[in-house]
Amino acid sequence: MSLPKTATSTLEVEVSRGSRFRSGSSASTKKKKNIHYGYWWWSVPAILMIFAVHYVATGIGISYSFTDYKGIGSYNWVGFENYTKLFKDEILVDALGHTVFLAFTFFILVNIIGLACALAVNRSLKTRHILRTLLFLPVVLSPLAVSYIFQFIFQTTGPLNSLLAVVGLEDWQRTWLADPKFAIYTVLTVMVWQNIGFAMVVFLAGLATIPQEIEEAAAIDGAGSFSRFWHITLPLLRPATAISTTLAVTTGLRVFDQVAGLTGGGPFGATETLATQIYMNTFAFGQFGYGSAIAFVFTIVVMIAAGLQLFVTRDKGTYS
Amino acid sequence: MSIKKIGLRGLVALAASALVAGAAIQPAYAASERDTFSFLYQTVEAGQDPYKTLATAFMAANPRYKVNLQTISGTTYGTTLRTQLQAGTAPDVFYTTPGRGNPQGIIELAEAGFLADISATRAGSTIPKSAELNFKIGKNIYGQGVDYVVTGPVVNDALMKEDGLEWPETFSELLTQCGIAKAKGRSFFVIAGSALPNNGLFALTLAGASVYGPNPKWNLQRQANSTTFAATTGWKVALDKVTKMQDAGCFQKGVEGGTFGTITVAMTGGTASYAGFVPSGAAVAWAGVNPKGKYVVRAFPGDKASATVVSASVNNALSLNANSKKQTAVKAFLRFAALPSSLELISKASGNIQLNGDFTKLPAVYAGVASYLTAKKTYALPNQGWGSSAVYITMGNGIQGLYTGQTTTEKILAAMDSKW
Repeated sequence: MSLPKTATSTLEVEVSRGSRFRSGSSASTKKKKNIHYGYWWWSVPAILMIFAVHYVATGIGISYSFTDYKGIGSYNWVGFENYTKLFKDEILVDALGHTVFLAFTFFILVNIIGLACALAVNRSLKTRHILRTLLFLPVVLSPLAVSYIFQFIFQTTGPLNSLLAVVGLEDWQRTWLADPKFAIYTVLTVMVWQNIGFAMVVFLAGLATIPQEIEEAAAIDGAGSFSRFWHITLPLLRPATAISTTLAVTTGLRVFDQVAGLTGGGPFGATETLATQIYMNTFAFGQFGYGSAIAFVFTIVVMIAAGLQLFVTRDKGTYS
Repeated sequence: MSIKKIGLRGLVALAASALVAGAAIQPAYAASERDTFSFLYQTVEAGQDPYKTLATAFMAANPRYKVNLQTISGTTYGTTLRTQLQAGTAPDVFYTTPGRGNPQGIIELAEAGFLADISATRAGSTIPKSAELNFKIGKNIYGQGVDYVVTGPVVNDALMKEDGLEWPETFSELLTQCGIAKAKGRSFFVIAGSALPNNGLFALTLAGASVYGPNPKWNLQRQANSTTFAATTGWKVALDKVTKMQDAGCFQKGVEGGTFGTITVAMTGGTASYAGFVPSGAAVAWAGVNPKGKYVVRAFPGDKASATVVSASVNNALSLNANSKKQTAVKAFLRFAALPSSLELISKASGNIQLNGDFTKLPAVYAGVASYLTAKKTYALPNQGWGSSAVYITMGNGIQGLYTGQTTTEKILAAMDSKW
């Protein structure tokens, strides 16, 4: 079957433009090479844009970390002074501890609950489509808006304490958002509540790739529900687990909105995280240089954590 | 009457008539002919907007000018303004605060070259002599005062009277009354303990009697590094009072988690609390919400009645962008804003006290502090003269730590020194 005249001429133009392909000898090779549409330099504008927006901007930000820039006016180069100060700052050390605690517990809880939800709404339930929508709904809401709603719920005179009073648990009432022991758990609660839906969707996508026949064969061989889950479902979910856990770790480490909306880092720094400290030092205290230094160290922490996470959950090809 | 006198009077009458006629028959300007400039200020959360009132009056008196009003929430105002100034997109005239204690502090912005000298306007007449260092660098003036703000507890006198109480004259009387209020199921004070600016305002009020009353030049000494927060007994006395008041039950339940919303609800509800630490203008706004309440500004009692002082100062200002292309128009606006009639207009809208006004003819809400103002038993809001906004935020943060028992006054004062 011959190509229409217009199409042929188009291909001829392609050949004339792509000088690399002119030397093709056989007609079949020529035709195969003619439909090679992509050239590496087509991506140059996009690469340049990404380079300028992401990496040049980040580089400039890092350069500020070696200055005493206050956000306005001129500045002086101060070498590694900001970094020396950073590692002696007790508030930052505490903030790092809170960040790691939130990221780790968030990563555990959101994945376990997300997986449980995915398994629950995967196949058999008739209402699964509605339940999936309801569980995913919080993900599309603004984290800051959600935090303000929960701030109202956790108020001393808010609905949570009122509910506790109604059910006779007055002893459990407290100033949730300003209690040094409990404030960080309120932040964690809101983070987990809002992100379960996302983990669920990732696991649902993973579950959809598992052939039903394998589970049925295992069931015929006498494997129970837990055994099937442990030996078949969970190992085959490794790619989904890798994605979900990596995203959970980075989301947990970058937590800002929930802290800003619920506690503002209080009481007395009990919920400060690295992200809120970057904001405070940069914008509230006007120490752009110092804030940039914290941000650079924070970036390295996130990169190491994400790298470790990817390494641990990498696909080893065991079940391929 | 001589002909000469009649002639002079006639001339004066003629000139006056011409002025009146000129004012009455203002030339109409097309939108394209009007000289337009932008004016940025913090969003006014409640009550009348004094800056909109001022701009409207200015445009009515000067039809050839048009003011484009822009507002930004107080929580992000300073940082947004700094970003705009740095990027060259800042408005022509904007709201600032005296000194350098805030991101929008006049001195820090002027030192960076972002503010124009306005000494050729009437700005000088709006700056109290004691506060010149917060507006001027050398002979140059970089900010114009707007109104006079009294910072003290705003009290619901009607509720106190209902409980048979009168405003205490000494700190020990206050502690006793806190117990009485608690027994009646109320709190003497309602505080936004989770909002650092409110904690800061509270602490600055406490510092009046023990720091700035006895030593009005304490800020200058701190600037010269001849003293520190930690080394000043008055500061320790002031912050220790927070713990004493908490122990006496002066605050609402869960004070550490209180918000500005908590204060508004408690005070306008009219039954939960007697007083809150808010800018004096709130007294007028609250009276509008709860007509049964009688809200007045009071002086926080010192250890002795004679030690009591009131924080009263020019806390709000306007500055001209050094890079503005509308220098002439903005200067005309600033001249207008400094007129006694304009200052009266602003104070009526804001609920604050009129600059250069008569302290003996204050509105009723200031009856509780009038004697202190006339006797000049006052001090300027201290953080205007502090090294950076970090000191104030550290203090506010520390006060929350006192409520929860996470820190001590010594640690707070040491941290404030380190942030100076």
